[in-house]
Amino acid sequence: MVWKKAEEPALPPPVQPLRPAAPQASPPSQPPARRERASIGPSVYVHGELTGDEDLLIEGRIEGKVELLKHSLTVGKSGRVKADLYARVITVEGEVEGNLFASEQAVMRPSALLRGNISSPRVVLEDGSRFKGTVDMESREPEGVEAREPAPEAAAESGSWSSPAGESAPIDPAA
Amino acid sequence: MSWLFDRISGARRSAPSEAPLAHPPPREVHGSLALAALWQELPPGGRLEVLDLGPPLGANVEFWGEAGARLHVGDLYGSLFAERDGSENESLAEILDLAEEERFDLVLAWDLFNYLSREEIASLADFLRRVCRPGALVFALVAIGKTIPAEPYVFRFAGPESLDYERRGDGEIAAPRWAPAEVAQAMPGFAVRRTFLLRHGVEEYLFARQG
Repeated sequence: MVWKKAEEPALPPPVQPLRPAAPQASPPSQPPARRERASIGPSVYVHGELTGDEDLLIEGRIEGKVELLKHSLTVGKSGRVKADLYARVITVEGEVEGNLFASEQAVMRPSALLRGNISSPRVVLEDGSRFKGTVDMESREPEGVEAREPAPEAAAESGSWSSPAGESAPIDPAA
Repeated sequence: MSWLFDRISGARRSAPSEAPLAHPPPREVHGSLALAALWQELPPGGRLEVLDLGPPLGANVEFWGEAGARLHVGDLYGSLFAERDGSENESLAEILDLAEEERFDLVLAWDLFNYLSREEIASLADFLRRVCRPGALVFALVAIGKTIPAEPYVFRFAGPESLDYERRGDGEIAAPRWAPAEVAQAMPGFAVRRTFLLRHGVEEYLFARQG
């Protein structure tokens, strides 16, 4: 009878926009649900300028510019990026052709391939990473990037970019 | 650049097959008298611009970052030992991914001279003369023993005056055994500022760009 009780599904909470489940819905030993970062799936291709107000994982193809000034940006192992990247923390596990501007830290994992320059007060190059370019650890705010707060409507639009598998049509944010 | 690929690929052909090593290659830390001298020789003031011809290494990035320098990782070794993909005719500037206007105060050539002929060193020197400011220094290590590893060492800064030598692979090839005068003649446009003969079979050089 115990397993029957365990299998009894909890009643779903009422529909609420973007809020974690009420604490009493989870067993006390589990931490509260963490908001997941946005992600660009491996089948997605984006050509243009990406901005947002949350962390982002890129596993697809990006050409242009990515700007997440106060957040973390990760180029996953499947990520193929041809763009300049601006974020608080930038982690590269895939391939990037472009410059990295990280206000806090830039990290190259062993699977990383970067052809471009790194500007960040802290740079971590893990052995095995492939890199060719200049490292500048006395970086200031990069020229041409304005520190700005996204408009409220833009924040609401910066949801998940995940695309169902099989869809590979390019997305042009300017459209 | 095909001459460089021929030279290095020849060295690789003479190395044994790349079976997994039973024991990891040793790493040794050696004091460097040339590094100790280098800090005295560098021009004062301004921000140091460093060109590293070796591979990208976290320890070296961290070292130069703490020194306040701007470091360009050229990874010439990585390009030379990569599979030939038709890029053999790239210029050195293209291989090192250098912008036209970049100029350097210090070049880390490590043990690259051990794997080049005199003509090839002269060709490299011609390139370095163009990208080095007057008075810029080139740091190089030349083996004086009979043999050298089939692949260049990987060098990491273990401190301002010491280097961690990591050997890759266990093949051996004949060393060029350059005499100091030969090395000096192979670097037109550069003068030998200092040399140091170390006990572990290495002669360290500091060249200075003339003009």
